[in-house]
Parts: sequence; C-alpha cells; structure tokens
Amino acid sequence: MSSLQDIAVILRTYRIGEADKIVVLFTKDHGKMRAVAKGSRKTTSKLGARLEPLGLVNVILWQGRNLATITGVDVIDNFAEVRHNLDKIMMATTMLEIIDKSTLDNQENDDLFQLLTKALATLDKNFSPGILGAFCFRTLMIEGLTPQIDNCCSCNTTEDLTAFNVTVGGVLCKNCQSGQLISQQALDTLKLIFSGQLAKALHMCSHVPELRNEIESLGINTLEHHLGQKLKSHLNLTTWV
Amino acid sequence: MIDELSRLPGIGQKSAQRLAFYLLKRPKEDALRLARAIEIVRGKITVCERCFTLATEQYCSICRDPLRESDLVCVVEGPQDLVAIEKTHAFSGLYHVLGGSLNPLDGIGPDQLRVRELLARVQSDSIKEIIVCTNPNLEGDTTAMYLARLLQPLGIRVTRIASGLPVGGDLEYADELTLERAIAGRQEVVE
Repeated sequence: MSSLQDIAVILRTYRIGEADKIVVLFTKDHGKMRAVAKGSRKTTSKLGARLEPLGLVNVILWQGRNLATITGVDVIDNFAEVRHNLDKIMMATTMLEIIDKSTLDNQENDDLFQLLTKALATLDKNFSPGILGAFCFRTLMIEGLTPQIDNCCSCNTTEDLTAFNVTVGGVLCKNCQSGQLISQQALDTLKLIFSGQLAKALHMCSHVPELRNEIESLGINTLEHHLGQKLKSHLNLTTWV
Repeated sequence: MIDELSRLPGIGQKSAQRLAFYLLKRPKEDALRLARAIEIVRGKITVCERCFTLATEQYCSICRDPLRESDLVCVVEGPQDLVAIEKTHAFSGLYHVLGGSLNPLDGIGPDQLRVRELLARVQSDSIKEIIVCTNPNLEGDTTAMYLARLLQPLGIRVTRIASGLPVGGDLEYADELTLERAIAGRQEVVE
C-alpha cells in the first residue's frame, strides 16, 4: 500500500453507496485509474466539486489492495467556458468517452494525455468546430491506427481518390470506390491533421460547416469501427425532441 | 425474509439478518402494521398525470392546490428533490419531475426523460417561468442549458437555481468551482 500523486483529467464518475463516487481518472504518469472518493456526494464534501468530469486536477491517491482512495484534490483547470456552453460540453464529453474506451487501466500514455489536455484547453479558449474530428484522427494516429489517405488502399494509385472505407483502412480511388464518399477538401484537411498542422485544419473547418461535419463523421465512424462499439455521448442535439 | 430485506438499498446480509430478528422479537402486531403500511402504499401510490411526482390520485396535492402559482414551474430530477424544495416553504409554484438528467456519457438524452411532457405543458398551460432545479453537476448543468435552448425561443423565462456556499460553512475550505459560482451569483446587501 502506498500513496501517489499525479496530474489527471476526470473522465467520468459512478455513484456508489450512499454518498461515495468511483472516479475514472486519466493520469499523466499512471494511465487510466479508478479510485473511490468517499463522501464526495455530500454537500459538505471538500472533494465533490473538484471531482466533476472534465476537470484537470492534481490528485493524491492512497493505493490499496483493490481500488485506490482519493485523499486530496487540487483543481488546475476546470475548463469553465466548456461547462457554460452546451455544444462545447457535447464535444468534450465525446472526447472523454473516446479516451475512456480506447485506453486500458494503468497503461501510461503521455501522448494521449497531452492530446486530451490540449484539446480541452483549445475548446475552452475558443469555439473550434472541427476540433472533435481532428481529435478523433489524432487519437487514431497515437494508437497506431492512422488511415491510409495518400494512395488507394486497393490499387495504390494517387489519382481520383473519392471514397473512404474504414474496413479497408483508408481511401479508395474512383475505380475501386466503396464505403462513404470523401471530398477533396476533407482529404486536404486530413493531410493537415496528420502532418501536425492542426491550427490550419481547424481554420479550414471553422469556415466550412459541411467540412467540419464530414471530418467529424469520418473520425467518429473510424473510431467506432476500431473500438467495436458506438460512442454513447456523440448525440446530435438537433435530433432531440 | 432476510433475502428480501437485503435487496433494500444500503442493507447488506448482516443488517437484513438483524432487522429480521428484530421484527420477530417485536409483538406480532408491530410486524403486521409494517406489512400493512407497505401494502397500502404500494397499492395506492401512482404517478401524477401532470407533474409526474408520486400521488394517490390522478393529480398530486400540489397540482390540485388552487393557491399555487400555475405560471411558475420548477423542474426537478426526481420526487425526492421536490420533497427537499417543499421543506423550504420558499416556493409556491408547480413542479415537473424529469425522471433524471441528461447524461451524454451514459447516452441518456431527452427521449429517456419527460422533456416532451414538459414541452406539452408549456404549450398548453400558460407558463411564464421555468426554474431548472437539477443537481449542480455536469449532467444537471447540461440539462439546464438544453432546456433553456428548447424553451427560450417559445418566450418562456428559463432560470437556474443559484450555486454557492453552504450556510454555516467556512470560505477557506470551499472549492474553486463553488466559490467562482458564488462570486458570479453575488447579490447586493439589503439592510
């Protein structure tokens, strides 16, 4: 049994018992961890508000034989602007779910941690509509699942790339076409995302709403294909009621 | 009996055993009174057709009260929240029980809640203000923002209960998020 301290993003919480919570943390040095926050649902709890999903916190844990117990939390950033905007909340919760579903417990992944914290900070500062799509493809890249976008997955040609098929792992030309259609603008944006020119890619998406939707749908579909399950939090608000 | 009691929330096998032996030790009438009370409650309690809280008739006592302000509706997650607000005696309007809150991480959208029913009430009754009294957490705040987006275009005033420090608490122990909200929602001191 030992105590450990780490920086973490709170991915989600589950209610347990009368006033406790199980908190799923994505820590910088120890990967995804689960820990109990005792009494955190009481209004008098010092931990309660500091352990809301989305928060970037400095956490102290007491590692027991089974679940760790949270003994101290300090907020580094609670991304207040994200919490005050419904569209930003929906994007941020999808990012949290992607990280939760694509990581294993206690497997350190600093690249993914940096990606998540930077994406949340960007979303907090300004509304970048294309950020969710870019986040999906950067996650795939870090996990070693970058789709092939420079040449056709079937015949290897670099001409007339018109379709994207998740099952074959990338783009297809006009002759081999299957899966969903992809625009030239979306292909150019994906190239920017994979080459690390995120600011340029987000700038392109912010001016063309259709492009943002195309990149987001491609990213979510590819991730869902690799995860083997649907992302629950990716709900379209416009279809509600 | 021990198995049945241990199904209750917060009651484990050992507590269930203790309760069972206690009921056996008490006079027979005590145990039968409890059994009768459970039977009566389960038989009589239904859901109010207007606000969806627990009721013994078609409409609950609050919805039937003509003295309540019918143009002011407080939206709560569950009947237990309604009871907590009623205890304050500070609210004289009507209620609407949503049956939970929007939780994107669990895929709970408005279809799983009584949002359609709220919209129907807003359109048929002359409601002027909706107070969103969901829990002050990510799910509760998401619900409040969603309802505001849905109802404000209909000309309804949508308000949210204030968040802040508990009475009797110490400021130095307050967390940043609560303190930030307390400062944002500050009020002028009135003598």
